Amino acid sequence: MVVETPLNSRRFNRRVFLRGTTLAGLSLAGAIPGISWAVRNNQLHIRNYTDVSSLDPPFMISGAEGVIANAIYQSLLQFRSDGTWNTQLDAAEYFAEIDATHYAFRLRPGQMFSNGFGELTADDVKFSLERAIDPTLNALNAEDMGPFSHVEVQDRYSGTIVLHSPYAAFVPVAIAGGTAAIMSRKAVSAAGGRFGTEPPCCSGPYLFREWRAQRKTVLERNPDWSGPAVAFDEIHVYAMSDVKASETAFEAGQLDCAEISVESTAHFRKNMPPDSKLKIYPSGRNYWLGMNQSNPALQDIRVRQAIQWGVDVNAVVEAAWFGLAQPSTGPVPAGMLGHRPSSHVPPAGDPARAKALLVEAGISLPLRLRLDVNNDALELTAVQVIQWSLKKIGIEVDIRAQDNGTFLSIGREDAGDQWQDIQLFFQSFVGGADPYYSLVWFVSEQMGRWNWERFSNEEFDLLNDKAIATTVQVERDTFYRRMQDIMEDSGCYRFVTNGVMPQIIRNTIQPAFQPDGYALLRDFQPTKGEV
Amino acid sequence: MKNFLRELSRDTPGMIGFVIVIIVLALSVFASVIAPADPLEIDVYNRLASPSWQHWLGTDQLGRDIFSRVLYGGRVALKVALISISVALLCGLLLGMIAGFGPSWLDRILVVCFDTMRSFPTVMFALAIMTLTGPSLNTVIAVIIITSIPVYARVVRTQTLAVRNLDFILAERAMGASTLRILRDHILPNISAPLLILASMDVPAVVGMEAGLSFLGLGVGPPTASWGSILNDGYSYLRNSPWPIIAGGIPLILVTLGFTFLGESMRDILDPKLRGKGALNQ
Repeated sequence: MVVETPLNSRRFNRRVFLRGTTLAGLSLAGAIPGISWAVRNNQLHIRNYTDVSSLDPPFMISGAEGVIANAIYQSLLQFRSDGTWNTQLDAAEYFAEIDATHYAFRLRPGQMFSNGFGELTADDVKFSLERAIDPTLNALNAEDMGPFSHVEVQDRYSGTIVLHSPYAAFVPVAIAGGTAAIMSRKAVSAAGGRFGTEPPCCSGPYLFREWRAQRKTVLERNPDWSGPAVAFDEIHVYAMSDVKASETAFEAGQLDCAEISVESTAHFRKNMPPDSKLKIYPSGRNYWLGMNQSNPALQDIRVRQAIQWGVDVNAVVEAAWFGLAQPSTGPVPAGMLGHRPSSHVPPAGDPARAKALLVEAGISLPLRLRLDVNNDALELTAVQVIQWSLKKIGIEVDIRAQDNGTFLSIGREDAGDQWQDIQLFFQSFVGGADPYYSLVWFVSEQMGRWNWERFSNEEFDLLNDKAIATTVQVERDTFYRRMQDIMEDSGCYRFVTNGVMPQIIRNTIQPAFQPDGYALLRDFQPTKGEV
Repeated sequence: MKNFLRELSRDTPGMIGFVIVIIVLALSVFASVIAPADPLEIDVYNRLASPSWQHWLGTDQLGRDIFSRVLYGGRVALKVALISISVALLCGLLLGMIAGFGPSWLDRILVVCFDTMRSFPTVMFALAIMTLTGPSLNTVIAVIIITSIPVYARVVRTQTLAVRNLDFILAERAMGASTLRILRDHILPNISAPLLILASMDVPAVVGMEAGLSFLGLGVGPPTASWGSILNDGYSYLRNSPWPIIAGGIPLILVTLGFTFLGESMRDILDPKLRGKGALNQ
């Protein structure tokens, strides 16, 4: 007897083969855990925009590191996951401002460091905070600590933080911002005083399990965690600098949550993967067109103002952010203390006024200027619209796209003489939880470091000092608004947008993000009934 | 020339290649006449539009007419190819003949130089130069010239060495002909055919390199249209519209096909051995 199989059957033909392989593929997709859309084995798979370079709190330089640190370390306070910059207790069971330069704290007893490094104590808090400003360590984030002086330990769990002078951003920037994450004195000493991507101990709700360079970091549930319950047994954080790769990975079922590019939002709205949703979060990133006022071509304020009035920010935002973002009024984003409701130069600009300013300045047209930009699709799109806007008023702009590393050095005095040659540049950075962090980079002292515009204004510097020294919120609000007025009136800045951060998320996940779009992993939860 | 065209017309792939090359050249040269729109004109609110009567290949992410950008992009590609190959060919010809006809010590020195230059991977060399000097079209041309000279010089040297001791050259020498005359009137005509074939075959490679560097943002700067930058823009916005990728890719395919077919046909026609005539021109 001959058993009829698909291969010897007369009915086996190209169509049968294609149908069979398609069905086999679909069956396989359902069988492979990586392509299932339910929460898999109580794991969360998420994308990080870059790999970590250090998980040592005073040396963490990117938000990507902060995302992991927030899950594996504790600070005295941490940000809430309610979309605001409000803080809540973390390792501390009590935290209060005694006066403008003193903060009292008391730790929850019984919080343990991993790897046998014992209980978390006030001495560990003292060690961690003072380590961040230790001149021998020369920590990258020492400036976050501002005028922090020292910690006085009262007993095993209590202490007082002492500042040299009032520092209004101390809590959001230094304490909850990650630089002052609490490390074990014993563990760090055993690691030689400093460590890189493999922390010697953790105390957060998740423990560091492994780091694979340029691939992923794996975290696992901390069995000794005594704080609010967390949801997942494992979190896999994938380092994917290419946002397109993360989109593909999400569509392939490899990720539960991923940032997508703004240009892909329309695609995902039309072709949303099953059981998924799209959410647009604010990014907290400041984008602006900077002008180096010390360059001979831009020394005349009327030329700079002509550029401000010449750029159609509405068109820039529409082209590069697909209309998802709004024009910004300054580095301080909407919803934050010090945000300006409007800018002096309207987003649409005014080409006629711009031309008049150039005529008044006696500039012979066309004026040729160079514009440096990071070699990034979004930013290149933005600068091409700027180039087009300025061409209409007689300014020919040569765009020079540079890789990120080179671009970030062009305005720095310690990286050569090219800071003298830069004219226009399209710049961005992620602000922090306090307006101080959005504006401190533009003080005179920052000239040649991050202040590439060479902007210098006595009133601005004075207001910066005053705003950080007072804790009266109304005063701070007024100071920061005035500071942005001064920046704009200098002609050195054309504010563009604060951007957006679109995320696609499985319906099985309830995500948690800071207002700047960074994930709060410890607050990610499965949708009810999924785990 | 008439003989060449007659021979070419008998070779179908060669004729196809010839026609493609002529069309691409014509479209690029007359881009300003043919293009339906200004390739730099931005219309943000009409971005990533599908093909229509107004925009034959649709629009890119800034609402620019893709068809017009493809036409103008051809100018950039052919400019790079013609300038860099011509200069590299002339320099290679000169150095190769010096190496092949000159004293042996000079030959050895030049061969070491050629081999040293050829040992640099072209793209890596280009990236290193771009990092130092900044991206520009002139740098792209310079890099292609520098990396192509040894290729041509090596071929010319080999051909010269093969010809220099043939009887008619020895006879010229015996009759007191100057070195310059021997090189110009006797050696050059005998080595030019393989060079022309090589140059023709190199055009798609050079166009591809320019497109590759522009794709990486290291070629022409925005807003100038280049096939590579059209592809790069298209890649970023592929989910929104496939037209920039299609529009940037097709001319690259056509140029590669056209010049390769033409080059192969030229080889068949101009190479005496393949042609079956079995003798040198003289």
